[in-house]
Amino acid sequence: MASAFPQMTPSARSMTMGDLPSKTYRAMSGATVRRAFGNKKTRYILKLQFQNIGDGFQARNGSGTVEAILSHYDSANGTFDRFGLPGQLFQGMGGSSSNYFTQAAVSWRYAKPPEIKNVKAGLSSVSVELIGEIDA
Amino acid sequence: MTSEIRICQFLQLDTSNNRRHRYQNYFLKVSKTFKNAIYSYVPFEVEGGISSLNADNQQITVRLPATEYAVRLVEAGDGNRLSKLLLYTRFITAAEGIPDTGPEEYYVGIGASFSDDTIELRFRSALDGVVAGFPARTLTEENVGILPLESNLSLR
Repeated sequence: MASAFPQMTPSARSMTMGDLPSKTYRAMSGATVRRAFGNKKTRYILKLQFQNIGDGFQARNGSGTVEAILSHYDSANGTFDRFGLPGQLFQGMGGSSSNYFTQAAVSWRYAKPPEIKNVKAGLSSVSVELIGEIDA
Repeated sequence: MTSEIRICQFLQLDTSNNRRHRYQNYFLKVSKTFKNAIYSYVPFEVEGGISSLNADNQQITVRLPATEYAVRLVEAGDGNRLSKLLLYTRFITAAEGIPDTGPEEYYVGIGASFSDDTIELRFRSALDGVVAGFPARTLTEENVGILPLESNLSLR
């Protein structure tokens, strides 16, 4: 298990709740039968945007750096290792809502490598997509 | 109209080294008591098992992720040969109750195969189809004399 994601406040955040693993049989009549394959929700998605953050210095208080994200991605062996989520990622969101993500019985990993867009010298915007799945 | 079903399979595997392994594949990361025995969670899936009128030997495959315990399971069963499998299929209630009754199938191990991320244990149903000439006859030195090493045999 890698160290927790860096303590950074995202500029934008989009979250998708997990779901029970299931399949749906749909008859020609329109009737459906759903089969669940497990009793726990999985595949939570957390998309984070860090706009105009410093490459190697904090442009604003708590904004973090590009280097911190890249270093964490590197130490997490890319999309392979799991890690914890700091509460700061959910700043501005009520605890009763964010608990559905922070307390879900899933392991968080990078869903794909972070995407970096250079804005101007020393400043970049980073998109990070995390996925929470159940480990066997 | 919608209906929801939840199916759990309970697998009891007796390997050829006289060890019994019990697993279930629905209740994640918990052990469940079923028929007075404890079944731990393993993410396996079962494929195959087609019934036919002439009672052919059914073949099923139990697929497991290639984790350490799955490799040990295959090794303990001598490559899953001559292991015995008892497979229970149960329809779980919405309140996660496990009914006592439901399909129960018996199989014997016939081998295993490995891929980069899975291990497949292969089984056949214990009851073989009864065919003409049962029990099967084999050519031996006792009933046909000395057999040639390289030639075609023509039985008339």
